[in-house]
Amino acid sequence: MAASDDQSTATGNITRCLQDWRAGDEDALSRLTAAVYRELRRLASSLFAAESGDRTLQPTALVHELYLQLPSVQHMDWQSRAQFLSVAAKIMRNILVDHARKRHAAKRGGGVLQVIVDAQVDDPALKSDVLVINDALDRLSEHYPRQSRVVELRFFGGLTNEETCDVLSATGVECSQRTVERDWTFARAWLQNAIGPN
Amino acid sequence: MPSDQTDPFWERVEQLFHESWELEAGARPAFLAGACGRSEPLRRAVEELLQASSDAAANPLWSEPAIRNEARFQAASDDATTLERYRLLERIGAGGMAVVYKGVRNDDAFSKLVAIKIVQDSDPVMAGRLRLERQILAGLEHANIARLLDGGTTADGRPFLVMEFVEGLPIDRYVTQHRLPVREVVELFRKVCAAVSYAHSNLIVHRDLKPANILVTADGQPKLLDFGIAKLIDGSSQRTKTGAGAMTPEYASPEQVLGAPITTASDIYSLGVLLFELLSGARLYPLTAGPLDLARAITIEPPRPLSSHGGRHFDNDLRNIVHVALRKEPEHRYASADLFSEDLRLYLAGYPVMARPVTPAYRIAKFAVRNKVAVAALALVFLALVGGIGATAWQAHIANRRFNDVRQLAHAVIFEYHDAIETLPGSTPVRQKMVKDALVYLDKLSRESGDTSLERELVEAYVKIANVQGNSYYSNLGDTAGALASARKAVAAGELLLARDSNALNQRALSSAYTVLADVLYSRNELAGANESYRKALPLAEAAVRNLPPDIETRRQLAGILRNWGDLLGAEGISNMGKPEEALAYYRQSLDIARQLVHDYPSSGPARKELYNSHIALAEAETTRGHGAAAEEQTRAALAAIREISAADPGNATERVEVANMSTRLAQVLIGNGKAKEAVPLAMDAESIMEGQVKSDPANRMFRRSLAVTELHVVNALRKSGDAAGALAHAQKALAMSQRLSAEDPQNIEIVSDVANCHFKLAQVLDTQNYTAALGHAAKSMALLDGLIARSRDSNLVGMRIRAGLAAAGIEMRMHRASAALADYRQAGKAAGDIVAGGSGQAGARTDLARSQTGAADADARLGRWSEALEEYRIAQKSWSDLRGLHALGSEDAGQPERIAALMARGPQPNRANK
Repeated sequence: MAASDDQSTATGNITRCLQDWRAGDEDALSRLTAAVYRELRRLASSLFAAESGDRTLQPTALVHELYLQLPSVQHMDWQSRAQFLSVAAKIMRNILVDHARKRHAAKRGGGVLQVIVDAQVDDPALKSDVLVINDALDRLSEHYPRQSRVVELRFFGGLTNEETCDVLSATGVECSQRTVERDWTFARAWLQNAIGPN
Repeated sequence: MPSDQTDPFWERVEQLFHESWELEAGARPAFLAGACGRSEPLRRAVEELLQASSDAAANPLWSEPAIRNEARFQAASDDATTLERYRLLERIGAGGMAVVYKGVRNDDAFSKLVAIKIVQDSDPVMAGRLRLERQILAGLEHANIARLLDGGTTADGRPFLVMEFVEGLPIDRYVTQHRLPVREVVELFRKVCAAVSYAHSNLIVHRDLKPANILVTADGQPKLLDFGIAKLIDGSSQRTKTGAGAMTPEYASPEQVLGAPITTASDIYSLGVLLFELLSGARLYPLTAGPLDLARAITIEPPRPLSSHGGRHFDNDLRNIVHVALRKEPEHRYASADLFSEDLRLYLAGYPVMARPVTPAYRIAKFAVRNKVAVAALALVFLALVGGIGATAWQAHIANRRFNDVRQLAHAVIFEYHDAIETLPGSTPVRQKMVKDALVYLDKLSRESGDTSLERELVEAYVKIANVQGNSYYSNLGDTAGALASARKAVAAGELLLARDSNALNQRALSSAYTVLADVLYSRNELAGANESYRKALPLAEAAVRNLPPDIETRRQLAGILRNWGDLLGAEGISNMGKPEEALAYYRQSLDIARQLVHDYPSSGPARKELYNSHIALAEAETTRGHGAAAEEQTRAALAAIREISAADPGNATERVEVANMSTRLAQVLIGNGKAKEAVPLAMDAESIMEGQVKSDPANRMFRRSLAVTELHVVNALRKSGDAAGALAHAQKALAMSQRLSAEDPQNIEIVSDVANCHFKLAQVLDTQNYTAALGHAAKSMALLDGLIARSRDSNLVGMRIRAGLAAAGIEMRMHRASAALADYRQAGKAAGDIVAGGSGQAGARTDLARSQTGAADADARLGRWSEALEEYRIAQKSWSDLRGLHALGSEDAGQPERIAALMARGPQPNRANK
């Protein structure tokens, strides 16, 4: 079988790993991480390809794309779902940071010239590179670990307030959707401050 | 768990931030001045954050997920990059996971343009595959194929391909712009065929032929792009695309839609679609077609005929040629692009062509009928894969259609895909979404219609929806609350309908509404409500059967009601109303109907299923009532029925496994009736079926468990028929299998109980041959079961533990260890007594009790304690006669009451050497 095989084995893998992990198999976590990593990377690649100046795309949260493909996960108890989303959000962050590092490395790499296209420097969004945000986030977590987690889940993972709250609750942190919203407001301000003036 | 912030300063900053943020901007300075007092750092920190918060609120960066930001950076950096030997000039497009740029070689004096395709994924596995493909593709040299020139990897690990840059128009635009007459279109197309043929002879399939991939240069030469790499780079055409990643399912072949292997024939199909569109100037499938419609159109519906258009006239031969290429079954298309091209040449030259018209018989399509459910099911999968884009297009499509069409669609969704939904494994967001959408429709229709036949369809539609939502007699979504709501809607609509016009069709509709309501209420354990609903459903169904011309469905419905109601009234093992006699009566009626149905419609699968189900219901009822002979008769009939069903449908694994299940069931019943010898071949039959299943899917644990359990049935049969060696061999096999399964899944209670069961069987088998070994197995079984029961007091486990104890006790008696035996008998007796006293007067528990009491009495007698023994014999005797009174005295125990009477009469015996 050609076409749809890749897709179904990948999601099948993830499902199996999650079930094993729930059943107590500790090794399953690393298999799960690897499987989710692969899938999210693939989804991310499509997004990177499609991004183009003149087309406006729906803001997609890739973690949700993946989640939609895993009906078995959707029917698990809220704690297992929360665990999955938590892992996926972390992985999403790693993927982005990794991607940004490679992008930078490519520029500094041997024999390749960088030509900056001046027209784009004024775009404020471009001043806020993922690496910069990531570093700032690490610093935020020193004093505000919960808020930093909220950023990781919401901003990197694209989770909703409710899902973020579930994830936090699953790790024993008390929260409500309102706390999440407040934490996000605060963290966002802190990060904005940390990455520098526009 | 994140560590607590201990630094009070930062806590204060956060607190003040929130308090200030909630104030009006103007009020903040004053508030802060007050709250911070003399602490300058504190005030400054909060102020900075407040300012930053305003900035952040206005910064688009924060309103999207981080990945969007990274994507923009990526895009910006690429636009400005050189990679290895090439310089990127401008982005010219994107598709799937790759972006295409116009570029030049750095060292090229002539600045020859190339197209550079960069894949946005640095996965080394993908890069490796691409490298391999590249080597093959680089060998393709043809005037009409864009050459693959080079490839490599960017500094950050993304693979890229460099191709000849082709300046030209997509072929469909070229043809319209130049207003080519038919002959020239065909000639142009033949060049495309030549290119495809060349590639096929190099064993390369394009997989994604479409106008966008075929550019025609200014001098009229078509150039094919992206040969063979479409799958790798753009992702397979069935991958989910995020964002606006384009998918072109309109050119997909039926086998692509169905997920079957793609071959050169798939390219032929795509060429057929292309030729159709080039000739007619219109698309084969409308652009607004939703993925579901598209999937059906591609896989089942015959393509619309090539009709004359805009001054072009097509004679039959050309039409036939196109349709040969468009045939659903790959082997019915042109065997090669060459043959396709050749037929076109014959046509142009005025000679007779090879293509023959599609006959009506073909149009019905064996393909379609054979695969209808599979197609429908896979079309749903297709729908899921197209994802968000597809669903919204479908909805828009729906909204634009007129009322009648809306009705047709709702009809299609609900009726044709209901069956597909039934066979899809598990529940998915797609099914839920479809149900939700369908409900929206129905509610809308029910408001707008005034048409009674439509209203009847509405009732039936709500019934089907309720089944999908939560009827446990069907595979469902588990939404019993939703199902209940839909069922009630169905009943309400049905009552109104019947009140207006009490014809038989409406009676039938209302009957099925009450049935689903009853089924759902039963699922929710609301027995009284379910009973009432079945009571209403039955007479309506009977009336429908009387008044309508005989047909399978109506009568099946009646049989189904009788059976389900029977379950409610008295089926053992599920909650019921405790009226087994009535249940039996209904089951018998249902059987009569099923028999008649099979008699009248001997080739109908559903009729046979009805017969099968009726026999099973009766067999179970007779078994629990301990009517051995009747149970045997019904089980035999059930086995015969499922054997016929399976024989008529050899590809169906589920039915084959059912045959295995029924065979073991019959084996059990036969053993219970003292006919162990007859049971052996049946158990062996089941064994070989399950072995076949395991072989077909060795990783499937369910199959392996089933095989292990089946082995135990074989063991039983062999043991009871006197083949101790055979029984031992199979028992050891079963134990090994179960232990392996348990090792793979140690948390699984059921598998552990399987292992315990295997030990128990081994104890039974080894008893009389090797007492020590037998006792060892019995002890292991008991230990495992004790462990399980400590975690979960499941009545099955308790029953198993009792029987294991009885087995151990029996062995100990034969080893002359009467004290140990006594202890085990007493323990078993207590447990069995608890069950019987608890009210579930099952024959099994009573038998265990009687055996424990008898055994304890025997042990006491052996130990010389005659007065205790006598008392116990009396008690045991009572238990046995109770069983006899219930007609539940099994053949194994048939002589017990007499034996006890004799012992009691004989009196105490001299003490033997006993411990």
